[in-house]
Amino acid sequence: MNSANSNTSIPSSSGIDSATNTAAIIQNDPDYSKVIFLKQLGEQVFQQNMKKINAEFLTITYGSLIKVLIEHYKEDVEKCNTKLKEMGRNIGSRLIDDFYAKVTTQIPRCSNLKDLGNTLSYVGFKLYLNCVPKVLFDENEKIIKLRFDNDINIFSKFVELPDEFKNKRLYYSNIISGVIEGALSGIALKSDVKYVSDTLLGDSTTEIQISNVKKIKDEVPMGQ
Amino acid sequence: MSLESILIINRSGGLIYNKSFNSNNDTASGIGSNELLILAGTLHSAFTLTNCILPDTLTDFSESYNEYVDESDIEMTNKQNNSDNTEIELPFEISKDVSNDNNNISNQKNLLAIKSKYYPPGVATPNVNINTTSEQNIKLQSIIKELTFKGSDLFTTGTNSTILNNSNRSRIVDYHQVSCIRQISTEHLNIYCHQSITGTKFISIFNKKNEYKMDIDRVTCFLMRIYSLYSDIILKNPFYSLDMPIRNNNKFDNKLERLVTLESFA
Repeated sequence: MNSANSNTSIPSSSGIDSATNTAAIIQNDPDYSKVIFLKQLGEQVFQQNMKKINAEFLTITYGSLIKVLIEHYKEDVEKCNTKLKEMGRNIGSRLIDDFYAKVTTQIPRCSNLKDLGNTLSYVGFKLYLNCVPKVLFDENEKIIKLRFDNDINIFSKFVELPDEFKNKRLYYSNIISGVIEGALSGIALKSDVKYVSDTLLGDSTTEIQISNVKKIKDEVPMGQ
Repeated sequence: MSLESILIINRSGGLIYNKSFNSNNDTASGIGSNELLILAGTLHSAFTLTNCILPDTLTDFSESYNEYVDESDIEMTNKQNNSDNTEIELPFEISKDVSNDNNNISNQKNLLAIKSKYYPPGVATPNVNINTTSEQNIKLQSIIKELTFKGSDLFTTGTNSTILNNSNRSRIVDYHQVSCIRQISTEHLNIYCHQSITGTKFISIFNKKNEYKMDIDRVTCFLMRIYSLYSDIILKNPFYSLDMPIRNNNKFDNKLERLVTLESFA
């Protein structure tokens, strides 16, 4: 509840005394009810439709994958980052169909960036990683930031990066940014997704930034 | 009415999968692969065109992609006023204060909304009481066994009446947000279509042998089940490249056949 409150910045409420009327505004705010709906939807689909696997197994498999990649590219971290993103993009373009097949109840179409961020976080991340990153929305620069608190990113659960990779800035879970990019490209949205900070590298937060979201005009699927 | 064939068309209009049932039938065997390709292309262009000839009254309320709105425009309108573009109708009732104009529009929206009903798999006719035998349950289990689907959503049998009464289950596709062909009726055939958001089209062709007319929502549910099979079995195969024809996928063939027999279409 608290996180939702901070996420929904209310556009037209500037003139109203916020201290007394907050509850009323929140109830009447369509953005807020949308967030609640998405939360419920994510929870429901996660419970009803998803088969679960062991998280530790996934974490360790991903870890060994990274290890092999680093060995393969002879510790060239730049190449590892791009390769991870490419792999993610392949996953994402397949996963988007799975997402829409599983969320059988019609999901409201995202009409603005805030919706997109909320849908990604409350439904997408909930379904596939069982974590809900905080959505930070920058209206002026049209940027969505997804912030992962503490240990909720299961990929980096047991990871402690050695100093050499810290200096070269290896984004350990860079595959996630690729998945987001690939999934959005599946529904004709072009975007730039990248890691801006990672707690594994000594930063204070883990944040993924989504920017430059554009509709691809020529190649529009006219489905639902 | 019985099922003639199922086609899957990718986002660029290519036929990626076709399977014909009733192979001893004249109409099915008369179609060659070339004709099928042409048919797929024609259907794809028909889909594209229908979006362009959508009546003005409908385009005002449907958030279809064909009215190209720049992201920045949306943001602008969003700031200026809570415009109708950004209003999304939620499946449940929300108490929100809307101005008179908005109220009018939402009323009209309700009139235009087309929602398809949920039909559990294996219900032969809507008139017959839902009597799911254990046999049907076993069939259903065999379909969803190897999927990543838990199946309690789309693949629910009719035994559990509470699921049917659940508000979330009663409606499955909200065609309020969709603009596409749902059904084509000809002298000899009925063609039902379902388009996914990624642009993949699922098309089932029924003949009109028996007088019984299939409910469109029921076929839509059937096609959505095929969509879930496709997204699971085909797309998760690492050796399948996107938008390419599906060849020799025994798993998918088997599951599809089982699904068709379960629905008793063929």
